Amino acid sequence: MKGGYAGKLLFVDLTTGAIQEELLGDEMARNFIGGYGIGARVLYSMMKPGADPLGPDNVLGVVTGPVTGTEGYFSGRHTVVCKSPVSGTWNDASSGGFFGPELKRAGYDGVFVSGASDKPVYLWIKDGKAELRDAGSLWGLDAKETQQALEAATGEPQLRAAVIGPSGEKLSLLACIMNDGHRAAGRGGPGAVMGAKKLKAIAVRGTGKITAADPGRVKKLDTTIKDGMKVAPFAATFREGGTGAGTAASALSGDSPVKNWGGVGVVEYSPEEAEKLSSAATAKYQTKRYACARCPLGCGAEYEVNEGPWPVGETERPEYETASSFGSLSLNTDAEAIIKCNEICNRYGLDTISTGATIAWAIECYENRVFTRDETGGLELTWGNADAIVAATQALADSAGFGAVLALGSKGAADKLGKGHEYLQTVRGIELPMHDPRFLPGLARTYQYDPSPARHVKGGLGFSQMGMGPEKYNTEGSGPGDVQQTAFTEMMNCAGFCMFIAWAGGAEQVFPLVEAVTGFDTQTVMAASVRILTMRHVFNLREGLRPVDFQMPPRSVGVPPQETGPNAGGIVDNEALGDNFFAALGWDRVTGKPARQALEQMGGMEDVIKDLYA
Amino acid sequence: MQVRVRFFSYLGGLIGAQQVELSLPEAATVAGLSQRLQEMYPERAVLLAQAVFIADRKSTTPETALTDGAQILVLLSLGGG
Repeated sequence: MKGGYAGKLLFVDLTTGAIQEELLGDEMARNFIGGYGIGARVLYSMMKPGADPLGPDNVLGVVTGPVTGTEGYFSGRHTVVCKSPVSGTWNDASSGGFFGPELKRAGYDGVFVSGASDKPVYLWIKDGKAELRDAGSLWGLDAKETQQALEAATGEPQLRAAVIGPSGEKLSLLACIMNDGHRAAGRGGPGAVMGAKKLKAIAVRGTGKITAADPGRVKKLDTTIKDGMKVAPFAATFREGGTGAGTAASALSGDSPVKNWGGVGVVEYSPEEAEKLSSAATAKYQTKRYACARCPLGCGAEYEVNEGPWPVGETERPEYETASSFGSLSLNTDAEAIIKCNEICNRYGLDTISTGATIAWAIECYENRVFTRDETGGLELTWGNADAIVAATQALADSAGFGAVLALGSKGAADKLGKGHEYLQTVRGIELPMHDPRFLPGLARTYQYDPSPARHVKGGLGFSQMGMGPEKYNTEGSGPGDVQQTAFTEMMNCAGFCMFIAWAGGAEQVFPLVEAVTGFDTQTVMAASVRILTMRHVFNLREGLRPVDFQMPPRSVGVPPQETGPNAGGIVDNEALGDNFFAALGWDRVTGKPARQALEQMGGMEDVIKDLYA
Repeated sequence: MQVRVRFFSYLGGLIGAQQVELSLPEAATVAGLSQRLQEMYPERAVLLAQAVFIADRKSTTPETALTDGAQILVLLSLGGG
């Protein structure tokens, strides 16, 4: 193995307490690169189909990429993998911050946790040594408190930890895994998987060094990226306002969904009202900027709010997805309420997208008298009611009363209550993220057919359609480009990059950086991209899922079409996009099966061929 | 005709102006306005070509005819999470 890897994977069985490490083989690294690529390969081997996502047979992995922890820019990310308790599908969710690089420096490219403990524990890893420790005193602490308690317990103030908050402990299907106090691997319920294993935290401290195969080339590519940022139009915007800089414009442009996907921004909001959603409106609370490891952009910020109805003190600036899901999706323009909801989610360990979307769903149900006030425990869930949105978020976090139902997510709540299904905006139970396929039609294919459904950070044509006219609804010939964009994103994610490397002017440096760090040639890296996508896809096939089991909610694809606004009349032929995508990949449209010959040519898929074609 | 163009939110910072008043031909359309703005701000022409135009709080197409006194909102969406 030439470079970029720590060279070892750690396996922990919580049922037996056994901890063992394995060398990361060169073939595994070449074929699956890292992140959810290696994660999918390992989980496919370790797990049997039909495993209960909240049972001991689910395997939870935390995996880095080869660029993680190196000198390469935008390389601070790690990925959490498991079978989702929400969708029953393959699940991956990534996070930034500093945890991933620390894990690499501690000696491991990834950690895979199987089994379940009968009492709360945490995994402590320090420079190549791992042990399970009692977490009884940590159980019940929120994510930020847990970080501090771990520092005190280990005497290591510089440790980095991936933890669950109370929502993960209570198996909320909206629970995520937090790291560094406020970064989140959010989607698909991985926090509930960790909670079911009674694993409170993975805490790491590492002082090793990760060396690239060609450090000189990495340095040159870093310089090229920085030069690219100087001319990239959005780099300064993201640096100043973070992802939330665009929330107001997106609420009006048709990019953000409005009113649980049933509204139109320019009808609901005046420009002045929409402007309240922009991070510029809360800049007065900013105390300092925040950047993840090796990030030259720094799109984060720390806030301090000591006044108003929700004086949360030190907190973080909400991201775009958070501001939109707690904002335009519920017709809420109270920025302080959004900050409060963000703080609740960060402390309890909740996915802000799904939490905001679940509350928007509940509001529409309440407005249409699906729920009574008695059923909501007195919550007056009306559009734009900031007090009620904060109260509902707190109740959800506490799993108290009606909040315990909402903690199941919108689909889980509808199933539990036996009503409200007509207002769900989910794919396989996972709430859609905050970019609208009626605005960027290619997102429909990504949301529907990515093996991790309802994700805005997965590849496809969507974001390349920004600024296009009505021709964007034309699906003819979409397959090859869709696959190409998806493969690029597979590599960007699995190598350990933040997607902003592409949007800040460094897209053309992604593959060269992977090559410079790993020493793998271009052909190897490109082949791995499609192999990784295929590996995630066949995980779902082995679970018995077929393409027909993945359906988009009608509103999100323009059924019925909106009568006014920027997306008026737009109908997304998501099934045609799916047809073209499957055809370009050689996947059967009905069974989902990849062609046997393609799998054979791919290599590294021998067990998959046996499973699919025996 | 006279129209008032407002570059919404962060777009104003990128353009270097929050709003401008323009004189346009009587048969002006949104496509014509977009072209005019791209010529006025050539360093941001690529972004302006991607922008959404809202006229008097109503959505437009490139063919939409503008009216005298129209208030035009120019929006640019950011991707991202």
